[in-house]
Amino acid sequence: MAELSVADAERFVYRECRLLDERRLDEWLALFSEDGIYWLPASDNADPEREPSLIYDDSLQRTKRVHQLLREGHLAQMPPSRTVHLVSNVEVEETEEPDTALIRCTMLVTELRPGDHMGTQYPLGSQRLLAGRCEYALRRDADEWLIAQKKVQLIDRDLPIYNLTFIV
Amino acid sequence: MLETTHVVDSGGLVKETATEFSVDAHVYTDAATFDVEMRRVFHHSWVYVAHESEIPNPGDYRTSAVGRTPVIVTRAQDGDIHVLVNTCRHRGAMVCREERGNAQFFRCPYHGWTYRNDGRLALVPDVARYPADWVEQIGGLIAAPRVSSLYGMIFARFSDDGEDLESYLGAMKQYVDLWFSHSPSRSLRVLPPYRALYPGNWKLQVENSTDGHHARFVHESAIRTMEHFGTRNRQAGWAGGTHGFDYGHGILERPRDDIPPEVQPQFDELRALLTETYGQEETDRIFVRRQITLFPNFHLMEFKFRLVQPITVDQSIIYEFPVQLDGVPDHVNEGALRRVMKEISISSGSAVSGFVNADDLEVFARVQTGLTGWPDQRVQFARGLEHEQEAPSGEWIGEGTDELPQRSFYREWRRLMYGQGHGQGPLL
Repeated sequence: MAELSVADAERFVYRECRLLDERRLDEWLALFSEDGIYWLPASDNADPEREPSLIYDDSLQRTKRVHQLLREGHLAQMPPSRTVHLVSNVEVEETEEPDTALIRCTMLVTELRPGDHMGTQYPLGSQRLLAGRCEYALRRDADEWLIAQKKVQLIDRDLPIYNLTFIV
Repeated sequence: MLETTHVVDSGGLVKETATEFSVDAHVYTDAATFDVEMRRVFHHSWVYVAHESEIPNPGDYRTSAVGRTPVIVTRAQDGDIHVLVNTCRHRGAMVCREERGNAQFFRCPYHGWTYRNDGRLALVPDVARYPADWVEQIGGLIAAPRVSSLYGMIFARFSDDGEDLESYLGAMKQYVDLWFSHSPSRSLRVLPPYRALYPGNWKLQVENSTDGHHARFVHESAIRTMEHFGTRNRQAGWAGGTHGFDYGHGILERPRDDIPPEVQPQFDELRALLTETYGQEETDRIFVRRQITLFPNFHLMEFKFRLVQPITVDQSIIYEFPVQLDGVPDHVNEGALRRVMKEISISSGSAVSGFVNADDLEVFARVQTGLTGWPDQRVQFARGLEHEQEAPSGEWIGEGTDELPQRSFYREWRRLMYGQGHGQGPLL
């Protein structure tokens, strides 16, 4: 079976971005393998089990995160963020193990929490940019590629950031 | 930032009567008040700047701050710790740009003035062109005149006057002892911090760290999520308590009712280890969840330090340093760390992306804009005011949802801003 092409990789990542931008988070959860990890490191070369990360979610944590976002009224997402995920510089790297693939790309996320309150409810209505380099470690399960790890290295990962309660 | 009226001095900023305790909105929104408190509060208190485990070896240093004053915390060649203002005595450039490192000297990039890591001037290029003895008079980087350590926590004080660290802590000291007694050797090391930014005044997080009343509202979605997934191990019982102290310190005590089931064995093991070390009775006192405010901006939380750093009147940073206990097995530390890093407990995860603390920051943003938009507001802290009990130990005791720690904070804040000892005019 053919390995992952750059066009396949783009299709995969674009779809993930669309699910996030449309807040279809239950479908987003299904992109991951059972042992998949969603990881935003807070520094370079840190062991995520032993040092803080911005986010280091296994399946249960990820499911809780989505549950709180969609079903329990997470205050920091009331109103929820609107996002546009823009992906570029997509590369596919050779991997040694069969049925695995590694996608590298860059990501620019434009985010705002809507609400026009005549400028009195900062930071509502205030748009910001998050930039990062992404790595998707994929694993093939039957005919489907699943995310074994999504890692986003934000350029401001080791600086104080406000409110990352939406999915990057 | 919106324009607000400058109100710096009048006695109405913090008002206390038998039935009222309230704080003027400008205390949170007024830039001039902020500038004054950076000097009167932060330079006249013992301020946490670093932990000794971050600078274990001679030459180690890290940058930090006392209010808005940037400092370098150094360990000199003789092992002594110095807290140095990170500003060249010549033309005022910052001499150190690294967050941490190891250096015997700091060299100003502007004209090459070079300082030893104890702050003394080592070299001034072309020194003969300066007036005679002038360089000797300058001496070196400005050093905090008083530096004291307790359990590895390094505190600096920029004023020569006032109480030493032990007197400053007073009756609080015994609770700091209990907090550190989670390590059988009463020592620990800190990990790299979580960092979060929020658009609100620094005092909003300080107040919140000992607020026992907000969780069921602000954290409702987190609690419901925890219950939905069965990851909360709640036991009925004690509802907690609050303590207030002289010099602005406070405590919120809570039961450890939310230890995730998968780390319960590590917590049971820690408790057994402490019982061996201290005995049953003392362990019962130690093994309580205490959220401690050390005035003005430092907290001992559940297996982490929390430092609130003021940036502007309406911008602040939170640093949270998970701690690792000395004298316990690695897997116990892993359990404690897991509780801090990953679990959906009240202390979970980072304030920027966690399930819990991110909602506090959302509320701080709402308070900041609320107070900016209605500067006539008085912020109310009267909950439990009529029930404060003074204990013989020199502290005040309230119920778990009382606003007692917040009142202690603002009594000290008022004293430093315009109370006794500051009657000789502005300290700006």
